[in-house]
Amino acid sequence: MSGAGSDGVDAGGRPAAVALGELVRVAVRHRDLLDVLTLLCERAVDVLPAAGAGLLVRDGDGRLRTVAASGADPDLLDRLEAHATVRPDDGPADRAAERRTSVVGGGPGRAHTFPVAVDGTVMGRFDVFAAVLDPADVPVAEAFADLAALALLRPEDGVDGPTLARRVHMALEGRAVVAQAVGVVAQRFALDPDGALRRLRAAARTERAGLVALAEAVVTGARPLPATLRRPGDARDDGSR
Amino acid sequence: MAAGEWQRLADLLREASEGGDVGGAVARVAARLLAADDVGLAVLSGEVPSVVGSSDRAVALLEREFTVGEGPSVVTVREGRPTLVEDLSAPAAGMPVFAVEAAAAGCAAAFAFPLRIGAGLVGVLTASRAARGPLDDVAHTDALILAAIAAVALVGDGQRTGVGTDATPGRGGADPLGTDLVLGDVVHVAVGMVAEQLRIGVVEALVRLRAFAFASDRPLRDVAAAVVARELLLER
Repeated sequence: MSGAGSDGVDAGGRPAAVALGELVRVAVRHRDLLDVLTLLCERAVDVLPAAGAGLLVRDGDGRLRTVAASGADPDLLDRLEAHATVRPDDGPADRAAERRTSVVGGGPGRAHTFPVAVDGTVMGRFDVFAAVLDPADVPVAEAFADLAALALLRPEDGVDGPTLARRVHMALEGRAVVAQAVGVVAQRFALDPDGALRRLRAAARTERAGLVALAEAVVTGARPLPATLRRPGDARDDGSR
Repeated sequence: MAAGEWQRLADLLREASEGGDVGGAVARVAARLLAADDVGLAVLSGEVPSVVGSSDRAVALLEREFTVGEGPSVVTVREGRPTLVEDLSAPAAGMPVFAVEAAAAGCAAAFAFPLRIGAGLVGVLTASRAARGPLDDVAHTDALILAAIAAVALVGDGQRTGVGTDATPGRGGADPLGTDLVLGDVVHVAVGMVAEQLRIGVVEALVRLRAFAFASDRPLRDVAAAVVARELLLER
Protein backbone atom coordinates (compact mmCIF):
# COMPACT_ATOMS: atom_id res chain seq x y z
CA MET A 1 0.00 0.00 0.00
CA SER A 2 1.25 3.42 -0.84
CA GLY A 3 0.98 6.34 1.49
CA ALA A 4 0.99 10.00 0.67
CA GLY A 5 3.14 10.92 -2.30
CA SER A 6 5.52 8.50 -3.94
CA ASP A 7 7.53 7.38 -0.94
CA GLY A 8 4.65 5.77 0.94
CA VAL A 9 5.31 7.90 4.00
CA ASP A 10 3.61 11.11 4.96
CA ALA A 11 5.40 14.30 5.97
CA GLY A 12 5.22 13.30 9.62
CA GLY A 13 6.85 9.95 8.90
CA ARG A 14 3.75 7.82 9.51
CA PRO A 15 3.25 5.18 6.85
CA ALA A 16 -0.34 4.80 5.70
CA ALA A 17 -0.21 1.11 6.53
CA VAL A 18 0.65 1.84 10.14
CA ALA A 19 -2.22 4.30 10.42
CA LEU A 20 -4.66 1.84 8.86
CA GLY A 21 -3.39 -0.95 11.07
CA GLU A 22 -3.88 1.18 14.16
CA LEU A 23 -7.41 2.01 13.04
CA VAL A 24 -8.31 -1.62 12.52
CA ARG A 25 -7.05 -2.42 15.98
CA VAL A 26 -9.03 0.42 17.50
CA ALA A 27 -12.15 -0.46 15.51
CA VAL A 28 -11.97 -4.04 16.76
CA ARG A 29 -11.31 -3.20 20.39
CA HIS A 30 -13.04 0.07 20.89
CA ARG A 31 -16.76 0.12 21.45
CA ASP A 32 -17.45 3.80 20.86
CA LEU A 33 -18.24 4.20 17.19
CA LEU A 34 -17.84 7.94 17.19
CA ASP A 35 -14.32 7.74 18.64
CA VAL A 36 -13.35 5.25 15.99
CA LEU A 37 -14.72 7.40 13.17
CA THR A 38 -13.12 10.55 14.50
CA LEU A 39 -9.75 8.89 14.82
CA LEU A 40 -10.21 7.64 11.27
CA CYS A 41 -10.66 11.20 9.99
CA GLU A 42 -7.68 12.45 11.96
CA ARG A 43 -5.40 9.71 10.71
CA ALA A 44 -6.54 10.29 7.14
CA VAL A 45 -5.27 13.85 7.37
CA ASP A 46 -2.02 12.55 8.87
CA VAL A 47 -1.25 10.32 5.91
CA LEU A 48 -2.92 12.15 3.03
CA PRO A 49 -1.93 15.61 1.75
CA ALA A 50 -5.25 16.96 2.94
CA ALA A 51 -6.38 20.02 4.84
CA GLY A 52 -9.26 18.12 6.38
CA ALA A 53 -11.43 15.04 6.19
CA GLY A 54 -14.95 14.23 7.23
CA LEU A 55 -17.42 11.42 7.29
CA LEU A 56 -21.06 11.89 6.35
CA VAL A 57 -23.62 9.18 7.01
CA ARG A 58 -27.30 8.87 6.20
CA ASP A 59 -29.55 9.25 9.17
CA GLY A 60 -32.93 7.57 9.59
CA ASP A 61 -34.52 10.02 7.16
CA GLY A 62 -31.94 9.31 4.49
CA ARG A 63 -30.24 12.68 4.95
CA LEU A 64 -26.48 12.99 4.99
CA ARG A 65 -25.11 14.06 8.36
CA THR A 66 -21.56 14.81 9.39
CA VAL A 67 -20.73 12.24 12.04
CA ALA A 68 -17.01 12.84 12.33
CA ALA A 69 -14.33 15.20 11.13
CA SER A 70 -10.57 15.54 11.36
CA GLY A 71 -10.90 18.62 13.48
CA ALA A 72 -13.37 20.94 15.12
CA ASP A 73 -12.47 23.82 12.81
CA PRO A 74 -15.77 25.57 12.01
CA ASP A 75 -14.58 26.18 8.45
CA LEU A 76 -14.07 22.50 7.92
CA LEU A 77 -17.49 21.64 9.33
CA ASP A 78 -19.07 24.35 7.21
CA ARG A 79 -17.43 22.99 4.11
CA LEU A 80 -18.64 19.47 4.90
CA GLU A 81 -22.21 20.69 5.36
CA ALA A 82 -22.05 22.91 2.29
CA HIS A 83 -20.79 19.98 0.32
CA ALA A 84 -23.68 17.91 1.56
CA THR A 85 -26.12 20.40 0.09
CA VAL A 86 -24.20 20.61 -3.20
CA ARG A 87 -25.02 16.95 -3.73
CA PRO A 88 -28.62 16.43 -2.71
CA ASP A 89 -29.39 12.81 -2.18
CA ASP A 90 -32.96 12.41 -3.27
CA GLY A 91 -32.71 11.69 -7.00
CA PRO A 92 -31.78 8.45 -8.78
CA ALA A 93 -28.96 10.18 -10.66
CA ASP A 94 -27.48 11.36 -7.40
CA ARG A 95 -27.85 7.91 -5.91
CA ALA A 96 -25.84 6.51 -8.82
CA ALA A 97 -23.26 9.30 -8.55
CA GLU A 98 -22.89 8.53 -4.88
CA ARG A 99 -21.36 5.17 -5.67
CA ARG A 100 -18.45 6.79 -7.48
CA THR A 101 -15.43 8.66 -6.33
CA SER A 102 -15.73 12.29 -7.43
CA VAL A 103 -14.36 15.78 -6.98
CA VAL A 104 -16.58 18.65 -5.92
CA GLY A 105 -15.97 22.38 -5.56
CA GLY A 106 -12.82 24.43 -5.97
CA GLY A 107 -10.25 26.37 -3.99
CA PRO A 108 -9.88 25.51 -0.33
CA GLY A 109 -13.26 23.80 -0.40
CA ARG A 110 -12.28 21.28 -3.10
CA ALA A 111 -13.36 17.87 -1.87
CA HIS A 112 -12.49 14.40 -3.09
CA THR A 113 -15.37 12.26 -2.06
CA PHE A 114 -15.32 8.48 -1.62
CA PRO A 115 -18.37 6.27 -1.15
CA VAL A 116 -18.75 4.47 2.17
CA ALA A 117 -20.48 1.34 1.02
CA VAL A 118 -20.83 -2.40 1.47
CA ASP A 119 -22.10 -4.62 -1.34
CA GLY A 120 -23.26 -1.60 -3.33
CA THR A 121 -25.34 -0.23 -0.46
CA VAL A 122 -24.11 3.29 0.17
CA MET A 123 -24.18 4.24 3.82
CA GLY A 124 -22.44 7.55 3.46
CA ARG A 125 -19.48 9.45 2.12
CA PHE A 126 -15.87 10.09 3.10
CA ASP A 127 -14.65 13.55 2.08
CA VAL A 128 -11.03 14.53 1.78
CA PHE A 129 -10.32 18.22 1.33
CA ALA A 130 -7.30 18.76 -0.88
CA ALA A 131 -6.48 20.81 -3.96
CA VAL A 132 -4.88 17.80 -5.63
CA LEU A 133 -4.86 14.14 -4.67
CA ASP A 134 -2.00 12.06 -6.08
CA PRO A 135 -3.19 8.87 -7.85
CA ALA A 136 -1.11 6.93 -5.32
CA ASP A 137 -3.19 8.43 -2.53
CA VAL A 138 -6.53 7.35 -3.95
CA PRO A 139 -6.32 3.71 -2.78
CA VAL A 140 -5.32 4.95 0.68
CA ALA A 141 -8.36 7.22 0.84
CA GLU A 142 -10.53 4.35 -0.41
CA ALA A 143 -9.14 2.15 2.35
CA PHE A 144 -10.15 4.74 4.92
CA ALA A 145 -13.66 4.84 3.41
CA ASP A 146 -13.87 1.04 3.52
CA LEU A 147 -12.71 1.02 7.12
CA ALA A 148 -15.44 3.50 7.93
CA ALA A 149 -17.98 1.15 6.36
CA LEU A 150 -16.69 -1.74 8.45
CA ALA A 151 -16.80 0.31 11.64
CA LEU A 152 -20.37 1.33 10.82
CA LEU A 153 -21.41 -2.27 10.39
CA ARG A 154 -20.56 -3.24 13.95
CA PRO A 155 -23.38 -5.44 15.20
CA GLU A 156 -24.49 -3.15 18.00
CA ASP A 157 -25.05 -0.46 15.43
CA GLY A 158 -27.80 -2.16 13.55
CA VAL A 159 -26.60 -5.00 11.36
CA ASP A 160 -28.78 -7.99 12.10
CA GLY A 161 -27.10 -11.05 13.55
CA PRO A 162 -27.90 -13.47 10.74
CA THR A 163 -26.36 -11.16 8.14
CA LEU A 164 -23.19 -10.84 10.13
CA ALA A 165 -23.09 -14.53 10.95
CA ARG A 166 -23.46 -15.40 7.30
CA ARG A 167 -20.67 -13.03 6.38
CA VAL A 168 -18.40 -14.61 8.95
CA HIS A 169 -19.40 -18.06 7.76
CA MET A 170 -18.53 -17.21 4.17
CA ALA A 171 -15.20 -15.77 5.25
CA LEU A 172 -14.40 -19.01 7.08
CA GLU A 173 -15.35 -21.11 4.06
CA GLY A 174 -13.05 -19.01 1.92
CA ARG A 175 -10.30 -19.41 4.46
CA ALA A 176 -10.61 -23.20 4.31
CA VAL A 177 -10.35 -23.19 0.51
CA VAL A 178 -7.25 -20.98 0.63
CA ALA A 179 -5.64 -23.24 3.24
CA GLN A 180 -6.23 -26.30 1.06
CA ALA A 181 -4.73 -24.49 -1.92
CA VAL A 182 -1.72 -23.55 0.21
CA GLY A 183 -1.26 -27.26 0.89
CA VAL A 184 -1.49 -28.15 -2.80
CA VAL A 185 1.00 -25.45 -3.81
CA ALA A 186 3.36 -26.31 -0.93
CA GLN A 187 3.44 -29.95 -2.00
CA ARG A 188 3.67 -29.14 -5.71
CA PHE A 189 6.66 -26.83 -5.41
CA ALA A 190 8.27 -28.07 -2.18
CA LEU A 191 7.53 -24.78 -0.41
CA ASP A 192 6.66 -24.10 3.20
CA PRO A 193 3.10 -22.84 3.81
CA ASP A 194 4.22 -19.20 3.97
CA GLY A 195 6.02 -19.50 0.67
CA ALA A 196 3.00 -21.23 -0.84
CA LEU A 197 0.67 -18.47 0.32
CA ARG A 198 3.04 -15.83 -1.09
CA ARG A 199 3.03 -17.59 -4.44
CA LEU A 200 -0.77 -17.83 -4.42
CA ARG A 201 -1.11 -14.16 -3.56
CA ALA A 202 1.36 -13.11 -6.23
CA ALA A 203 -0.51 -15.15 -8.82
CA ALA A 204 -3.84 -13.66 -7.71
CA ARG A 205 -2.38 -10.18 -8.11
CA THR A 206 -0.92 -10.94 -11.52
CA GLU A 207 -4.13 -12.57 -12.69
CA ARG A 208 -6.29 -9.90 -11.08
CA ALA A 209 -8.25 -12.79 -9.59
CA GLY A 210 -9.71 -13.11 -6.13
CA LEU A 211 -7.57 -15.19 -3.80
CA VAL A 212 -10.44 -17.54 -2.92
CA ALA A 213 -11.44 -18.01 -6.57
CA LEU A 214 -7.87 -18.80 -7.55
CA ALA A 215 -7.50 -21.13 -4.55
CA GLU A 216 -10.62 -22.98 -5.65
CA ALA A 217 -9.18 -23.41 -9.12
CA VAL A 218 -5.94 -24.76 -7.65
CA VAL A 219 -7.78 -27.31 -5.52
CA THR A 220 -10.42 -28.45 -7.99
CA GLY A 221 -8.50 -28.02 -11.24
CA ALA A 222 -11.77 -26.67 -12.62
CA ARG A 223 -10.03 -24.11 -14.79
CA PRO A 224 -6.57 -23.52 -16.25
CA LEU A 225 -3.98 -22.14 -13.86
CA PRO A 226 -1.35 -19.45 -14.39
CA ALA A 227 2.10 -20.82 -15.22
CA THR A 228 3.48 -20.16 -11.73
CA LEU A 229 0.94 -22.54 -10.20
CA ARG A 230 0.89 -25.30 -12.78
CA ARG A 231 2.27 -28.70 -11.89
CA PRO A 232 5.88 -28.88 -13.12
CA GLY A 233 5.98 -30.76 -16.39
CA ASP A 234 2.38 -29.97 -17.28
CA ALA A 235 2.12 -27.89 -20.46
CA ARG A 236 -1.05 -26.55 -18.99
CA ASP A 237 -2.98 -27.67 -15.97
CA ASP A 238 -5.14 -30.53 -17.16
CA GLY A 239 -7.55 -30.47 -14.28
CA SER A 240 -6.79 -34.11 -13.58
CA ARG A 241 -7.51 -33.80 -9.89
CA MET B 1 -29.25 -20.47 16.85
CA ALA B 2 -29.53 -20.06 20.59
CA ALA B 3 -26.75 -21.22 22.89
CA GLY B 4 -29.03 -23.89 24.36
CA GLU B 5 -29.63 -25.30 20.90
CA TRP B 6 -25.92 -25.53 20.24
CA GLN B 7 -25.48 -27.45 23.46
CA ARG B 8 -28.37 -29.73 22.56
CA LEU B 9 -26.87 -30.26 19.12
CA ALA B 10 -23.51 -31.06 20.63
CA ASP B 11 -25.07 -33.55 23.06
CA LEU B 12 -27.09 -35.20 20.32
CA LEU B 13 -24.12 -35.49 18.03
CA ARG B 14 -21.94 -36.92 20.74
CA GLU B 15 -24.62 -39.46 21.58
CA ALA B 16 -25.20 -40.32 17.98
CA SER B 17 -21.52 -40.74 17.21
CA GLU B 18 -21.42 -43.63 19.68
CA GLY B 19 -24.19 -45.37 17.80
CA GLY B 20 -22.69 -44.42 14.44
CA ASP B 21 -25.72 -42.38 13.32
CA VAL B 22 -24.18 -38.94 13.00
CA GLY B 23 -26.10 -38.13 9.83
CA GLY B 24 -29.47 -39.02 11.31
CA ALA B 25 -28.73 -36.96 14.41
CA VAL B 26 -27.75 -33.90 12.38
CA ALA B 27 -30.86 -34.29 10.23
CA ARG B 28 -33.20 -34.51 13.22
CA VAL B 29 -31.65 -31.49 14.95
CA ALA B 30 -31.67 -29.56 11.68
CA ALA B 31 -35.35 -30.29 11.13
CA ARG B 32 -36.19 -28.70 14.44
CA LEU B 33 -33.85 -25.72 14.14
CA LEU B 34 -34.95 -24.90 10.61
CA ALA B 35 -38.65 -25.46 11.33
CA ALA B 36 -38.62 -28.01 8.53
CA ASP B 37 -40.92 -31.00 8.22
CA ASP B 38 -38.09 -33.14 6.90
CA VAL B 39 -34.34 -32.85 6.51
CA GLY B 40 -32.31 -35.21 4.39
CA LEU B 41 -28.57 -35.55 3.97
CA ALA B 42 -27.01 -37.06 0.88
CA VAL B 43 -23.35 -38.00 0.97
CA LEU B 44 -21.60 -38.24 -2.37
CA SER B 45 -19.70 -41.49 -2.27
CA GLY B 46 -19.48 -43.60 -5.36
CA GLU B 47 -22.08 -43.64 -8.11
CA VAL B 48 -25.16 -43.34 -5.94
CA PRO B 49 -25.31 -40.84 -3.07
CA SER B 50 -25.98 -42.43 0.30
CA VAL B 51 -28.95 -40.81 1.98
CA VAL B 52 -30.00 -40.39 5.58
CA GLY B 53 -32.76 -38.26 7.00
CA SER B 54 -34.82 -37.05 9.90
CA SER B 55 -37.65 -39.33 8.74
CA ASP B 56 -38.43 -42.03 6.19
CA ARG B 57 -40.09 -39.37 4.08
CA ALA B 58 -36.93 -37.24 4.10
CA VAL B 59 -34.95 -40.19 2.79
CA ALA B 60 -37.58 -41.06 0.19
CA LEU B 61 -37.75 -37.46 -1.10
CA LEU B 62 -34.00 -37.15 -1.47
CA GLU B 63 -33.71 -40.53 -3.17
CA ARG B 64 -36.44 -39.54 -5.63
CA GLU B 65 -34.57 -36.35 -6.49
CA PHE B 66 -31.45 -38.24 -7.47
CA THR B 67 -33.50 -40.90 -9.28
CA VAL B 68 -35.35 -38.42 -11.49
CA GLY B 69 -32.27 -36.17 -11.73
CA GLU B 70 -34.24 -33.09 -10.84
CA GLY B 71 -34.78 -31.00 -7.70
CA PRO B 72 -33.01 -28.51 -5.46
CA SER B 73 -30.50 -31.04 -4.11
CA VAL B 74 -29.55 -32.08 -7.63
CA VAL B 75 -28.96 -28.44 -8.58
CA THR B 76 -26.87 -27.89 -5.45
CA VAL B 77 -24.70 -30.92 -6.16
CA ARG B 78 -24.26 -29.81 -9.76
CA GLU B 79 -23.48 -26.17 -9.00
CA GLY B 80 -22.07 -26.33 -5.48
CA ARG B 81 -24.26 -23.54 -4.13
CA PRO B 82 -27.44 -23.32 -2.03
CA THR B 83 -30.68 -23.80 -3.95
CA LEU B 84 -33.71 -22.27 -2.26
CA VAL B 85 -37.07 -23.17 -3.77
CA GLU B 86 -39.94 -21.70 -1.82
CA ASP B 87 -42.53 -23.07 -4.26
CA LEU B 88 -41.58 -26.29 -6.04
CA SER B 89 -44.65 -26.17 -8.27
CA ALA B 90 -43.85 -22.72 -9.68
CA PRO B 91 -42.82 -22.93 -13.35
CA ALA B 92 -39.84 -20.70 -12.56
CA ALA B 93 -38.49 -23.42 -10.27
CA GLY B 94 -37.92 -25.52 -13.38
CA MET B 95 -38.45 -28.89 -11.71
CA PRO B 96 -41.91 -30.05 -12.86
CA VAL B 97 -41.32 -33.79 -12.52
CA PHE B 98 -39.95 -33.68 -8.99
CA ALA B 99 -42.58 -31.08 -7.98
CA VAL B 100 -45.37 -33.56 -8.73
CA GLU B 101 -43.72 -36.31 -6.71
CA ALA B 102 -42.91 -33.93 -3.85
CA ALA B 103 -46.49 -32.64 -3.77
CA ALA B 104 -47.78 -36.21 -3.60
CA ALA B 105 -45.53 -36.71 -0.57
CA GLY B 106 -46.79 -33.48 1.00
CA CYS B 107 -43.75 -31.31 0.27
CA ALA B 108 -44.19 -27.82 -1.22
CA ALA B 109 -40.87 -26.06 -0.57
CA ALA B 110 -37.29 -27.30 -0.32
CA PHE B 111 -33.95 -25.68 0.51
CA ALA B 112 -30.69 -27.41 -0.35
CA PHE B 113 -27.25 -26.48 1.03
CA PRO B 114 -23.93 -27.88 -0.11
CA LEU B 115 -21.82 -29.83 2.36
CA ARG B 116 -18.32 -28.61 1.70
CA ILE B 117 -14.87 -29.32 3.03
CA GLY B 118 -13.09 -26.26 1.73
CA ALA B 119 -13.25 -26.59 -2.04
CA GLY B 120 -14.50 -30.18 -1.94
CA LEU B 121 -18.19 -31.04 -2.19
CA VAL B 122 -19.12 -33.82 0.24
CA GLY B 123 -22.88 -33.86 -0.21
CA VAL B 124 -26.04 -31.89 0.36
CA LEU B 125 -28.36 -31.02 3.25
CA THR B 126 -31.94 -30.49 2.15
CA ALA B 127 -34.73 -29.12 4.32
CA SER B 128 -38.28 -29.42 3.07
CA ARG B 129 -41.58 -28.05 4.22
CA ALA B 130 -45.22 -28.87 3.62
CA ALA B 131 -46.04 -25.17 3.28
CA ARG B 132 -44.82 -22.86 0.54
CA GLY B 133 -42.76 -19.86 1.56
CA PRO B 134 -39.20 -18.61 1.95
CA LEU B 135 -36.61 -19.60 4.55
CA ASP B 136 -36.08 -16.68 6.91
CA ASP B 137 -32.66 -15.15 7.53
CA VAL B 138 -32.07 -16.89 10.84
CA ALA B 139 -32.96 -20.32 9.46
CA HIS B 140 -30.84 -19.67 6.37
CA THR B 141 -27.82 -18.87 8.52
CA ASP B 142 -28.44 -21.85 10.79
CA ALA B 143 -28.68 -24.09 7.74
CA LEU B 144 -25.26 -22.92 6.54
CA ILE B 145 -23.77 -23.65 9.94
CA LEU B 146 -25.46 -27.04 10.17
CA ALA B 147 -24.22 -27.89 6.69
CA ALA B 148 -20.67 -27.05 7.76
CA ILE B 149 -21.04 -29.27 10.82
CA ALA B 150 -22.61 -32.10 8.83
CA ALA B 151 -19.83 -31.98 6.24
CA VAL B 152 -17.09 -32.46 8.79
CA ALA B 153 -19.08 -34.97 10.83
CA LEU B 154 -19.94 -37.15 7.86
CA VAL B 155 -16.58 -37.39 6.15
CA GLY B 156 -14.87 -40.46 7.42
CA ASP B 157 -18.12 -42.14 8.41
CA GLY B 158 -17.67 -45.89 8.21
CA GLN B 159 -14.30 -45.71 9.91
CA ARG B 160 -15.76 -44.83 13.26
CA THR B 161 -14.14 -41.42 13.03
CA GLY B 162 -17.25 -39.58 14.04
CA VAL B 163 -17.65 -36.66 16.35
CA GLY B 164 -15.34 -36.52 19.30
CA THR B 165 -12.72 -39.03 18.27
CA ASP B 166 -10.17 -36.32 17.61
CA ALA B 167 -11.03 -34.06 20.49
CA THR B 168 -8.00 -33.11 22.48
CA PRO B 169 -8.56 -33.74 26.17
CA GLY B 170 -9.18 -30.61 28.15
CA ARG B 171 -10.27 -28.52 25.19
CA GLY B 172 -13.98 -29.16 25.40
CA GLY B 173 -15.00 -26.29 27.67
CA ALA B 174 -15.02 -23.34 25.34
CA ASP B 175 -16.16 -25.32 22.34
CA PRO B 176 -19.24 -27.39 23.13
CA LEU B 177 -19.16 -29.05 19.75
CA GLY B 178 -15.65 -30.37 20.27
CA THR B 179 -12.60 -29.57 18.23
CA ASP B 180 -13.52 -32.29 15.79
CA LEU B 181 -16.26 -30.21 14.21
CA VAL B 182 -14.03 -27.31 13.33
CA LEU B 183 -11.13 -28.19 11.09
CA GLY B 184 -8.25 -25.83 11.65
CA ASP B 185 -6.05 -24.33 8.97
CA VAL B 186 -3.39 -26.95 9.58
CA VAL B 187 -5.84 -29.73 8.73
CA HIS B 188 -6.85 -27.97 5.51
CA VAL B 189 -3.23 -27.37 4.52
CA ALA B 190 -2.44 -31.04 5.18
CA VAL B 191 -5.50 -32.07 3.16
CA GLY B 192 -4.21 -30.01 0.23
CA MET B 193 -0.73 -31.55 0.52
CA VAL B 194 -2.06 -35.12 0.64
CA ALA B 195 -4.41 -34.41 -2.28
CA GLU B 196 -1.51 -33.18 -4.40
CA GLN B 197 0.86 -35.93 -3.33
CA LEU B 198 -1.59 -38.75 -4.02
CA ARG B 199 -3.38 -36.98 -6.91
CA ILE B 200 -6.74 -37.41 -5.23
CA GLY B 201 -9.56 -35.02 -4.34
CA VAL B 202 -9.58 -33.07 -1.10
CA VAL B 203 -12.51 -34.99 0.36
CA GLU B 204 -10.74 -38.29 -0.17
CA ALA B 205 -7.56 -36.75 1.22
CA LEU B 206 -9.39 -35.84 4.43
CA VAL B 207 -10.78 -39.36 4.67
CA ARG B 208 -7.25 -40.75 4.27
CA LEU B 209 -5.90 -38.43 6.96
CA ARG B 210 -8.69 -39.38 9.34
CA ALA B 211 -8.22 -43.07 8.67
CA PHE B 212 -4.51 -42.72 9.45
CA ALA B 213 -5.26 -40.76 12.62
CA PHE B 214 -7.72 -43.40 13.76
CA ALA B 215 -5.47 -46.32 12.94
CA SER B 216 -2.52 -44.78 14.75
CA ASP B 217 -4.68 -43.51 17.62
CA ARG B 218 -3.47 -39.93 17.20
CA PRO B 219 -5.50 -36.72 17.07
CA LEU B 220 -6.25 -35.54 13.54
CA ARG B 221 -4.53 -32.23 14.20
CA ASP B 222 -1.28 -33.92 15.22
CA VAL B 223 -1.30 -36.04 12.10
CA ALA B 224 -2.03 -32.97 9.98
CA ALA B 225 0.80 -31.03 11.63
CA ALA B 226 3.19 -33.91 10.94
CA VAL B 227 2.20 -33.93 7.27
CA VAL B 228 2.70 -30.17 6.99
CA ALA B 229 6.11 -30.46 8.70
CA ARG B 230 6.96 -33.24 6.21
CA GLU B 231 7.58 -35.67 9.04
CA LEU B 232 4.85 -37.92 7.75
CA LEU B 233 4.16 -39.04 4.20
CA LEU B 234 0.98 -41.02 3.56
CA GLU B 235 1.49 -43.95 1.24
CA ARG B 236 -0.45 -44.45 -1.92
